Amino acid sequence: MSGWMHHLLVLPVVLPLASGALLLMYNERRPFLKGVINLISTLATLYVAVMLLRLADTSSTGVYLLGNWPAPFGIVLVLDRLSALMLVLTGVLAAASLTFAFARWHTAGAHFHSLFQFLLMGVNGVYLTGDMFNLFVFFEVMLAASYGLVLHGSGPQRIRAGLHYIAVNLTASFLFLIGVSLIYSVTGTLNMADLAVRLPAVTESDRGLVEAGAALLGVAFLVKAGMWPLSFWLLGAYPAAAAPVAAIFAILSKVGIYVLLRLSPLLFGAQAGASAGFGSQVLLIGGLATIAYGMIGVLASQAMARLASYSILVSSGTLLAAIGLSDANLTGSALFYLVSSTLTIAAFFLLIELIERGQSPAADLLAVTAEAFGDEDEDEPEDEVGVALPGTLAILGVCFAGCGMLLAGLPPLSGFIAKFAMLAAVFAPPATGTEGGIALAGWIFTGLLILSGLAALLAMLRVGIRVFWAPVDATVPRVLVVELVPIIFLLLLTLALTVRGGPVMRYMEDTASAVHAPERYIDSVLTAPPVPAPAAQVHR
Amino acid sequence: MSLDLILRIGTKLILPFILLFALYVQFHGDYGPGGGFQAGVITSGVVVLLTITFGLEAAQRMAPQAVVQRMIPLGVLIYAGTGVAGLLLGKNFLDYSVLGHDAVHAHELGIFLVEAGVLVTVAGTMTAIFYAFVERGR
Repeated sequence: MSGWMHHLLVLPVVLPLASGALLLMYNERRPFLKGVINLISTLATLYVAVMLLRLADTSSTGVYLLGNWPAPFGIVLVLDRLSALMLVLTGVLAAASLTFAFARWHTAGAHFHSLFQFLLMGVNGVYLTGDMFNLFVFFEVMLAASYGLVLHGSGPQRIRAGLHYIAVNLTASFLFLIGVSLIYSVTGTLNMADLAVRLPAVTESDRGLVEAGAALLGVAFLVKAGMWPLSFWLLGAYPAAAAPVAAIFAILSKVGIYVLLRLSPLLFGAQAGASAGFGSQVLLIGGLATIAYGMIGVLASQAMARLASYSILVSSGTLLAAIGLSDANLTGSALFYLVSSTLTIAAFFLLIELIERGQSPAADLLAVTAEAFGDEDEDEPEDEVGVALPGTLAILGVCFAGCGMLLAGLPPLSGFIAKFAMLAAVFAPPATGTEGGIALAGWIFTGLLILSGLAALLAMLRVGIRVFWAPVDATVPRVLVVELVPIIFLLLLTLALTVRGGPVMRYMEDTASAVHAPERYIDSVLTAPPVPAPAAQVHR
Repeated sequence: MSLDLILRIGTKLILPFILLFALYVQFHGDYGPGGGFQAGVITSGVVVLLTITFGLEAAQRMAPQAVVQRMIPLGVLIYAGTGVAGLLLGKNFLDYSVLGHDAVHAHELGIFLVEAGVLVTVAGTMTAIFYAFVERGR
């Protein structure tokens, strides 16, 4: 591996940082230029992410020492299969929602492009960092950018939901900080690998303090992931956000999931001594409750955006319960489900805006938006966006049916493979996890997974009949090609996941086994040598 | 306000010293308490004092909106640029040791540049927030 490949690891953070700052240099009178810079940076980040994915798949863990300080003292960036997978997923969603935003949303408020890039920087940083405090910093960068984005487009509904979102997430960040400082006060380190080494040696009197700190951290991540009692903010914020923002926000709840998936096997895995398995019961029960809650919500929602938000909860709940069951095979399938459901929900959020464009409530909202932000032309928003393409309704209908099949988990698309693989993993447990409680939890998980699919199918059928088969007013929504392309792109990706199911599943299983056996991760981080020459630091 | 001679003359006398103190805090930050963030806040204090004494127009003649708003990304770019300079010269991101002829000087220069970036961004951000609040009431 050449020296240059090694520097790729820092680019997913530095590229969005530099381009976000560059975009702030230009004011809002240069939308085209800003759009081009944003698009180039987003695509370059995606390209880097794909290269990192290949790198992570061939050699195992890549460690980058920022400022060349050795590991427990300096800040490290760590690349493994899990972080590379999340980087690629984020890049794909970013490219799709940015393309969608070019139709109209990117000029609907100030500094959209900068905020978008800073959001990417924060999210990518969360995936790559190997240090707790740095995790907090990247979390804050991500949240600060998302506060701006959730208000993007303005309007009273967005302000109300957005302020709610901001208040809840600021509180969660506060808990995060308290948790980090509690852990530091006991262990004296915040490097994740070093923490995993030191945790088993914590004395009995201090153990309560560490676990309290970890629990506070967990609450912060669960708020982000949307576990049931903590998810009330999500249902207001996501439907109110502009469509491309909601689509990129589909990854934000998965960021919370990612951190839990990274930290709980690393810090509280089998090797953690007295704290082993800490919190997995909470994740399991909370996850199951979240699936049930999301399922009822899916059945009860009238508006499509709320349906999509409840689907996020179902997806989060499924993943949390899968993490709580802490079984490497199940985690592999759950990762497949994570990718599939995130792509689906993002596509669905984009699709909803197009479908609802012809209907009156959304049109009202858009009109209010245009008025509040002071668009120069006072035309009806539908008239300025797009033309009535031939067969628009057919394309939208097919996309909608695809989303429905993916959410419900019906055979041809990847939703089916994901759910089937998870069920297979639950029913074929390894010899270690055969306690009575786990088996019962497995049955409940299975039941809820199937029922939630049925609920999604019913809800999508109902909405589909109302919108496509028996519409009250048969106005064809006016749609631009640039708005259809990202939706079709995302849905085709799920199709590709199905067609290339074997290799993808193999990658996911490798990822899961690496996550559940963190010794190699710890070893790579702590032995990464600070090098005088620009040589490769990727270890076997 | 315009009749308050003592306040106006006093402000004019004290302004350069506030800036000087900001720079002291800035350069002291290498090895002691202080640094770019504190210096940036003190620098933006100059603008606040000017606005209170001479009014918003006078302050914005000295620190125009356009400049203030470009200071925010400029500082970030200085910071990122310092990191990338290390990267381009064959070391890790944010490794300063290639910036000078020996490691000690190089690290001092690296920290100086990074802190300068912080100063510019913080001063710009604080001033922009202050302008936003002052202009709300107009």
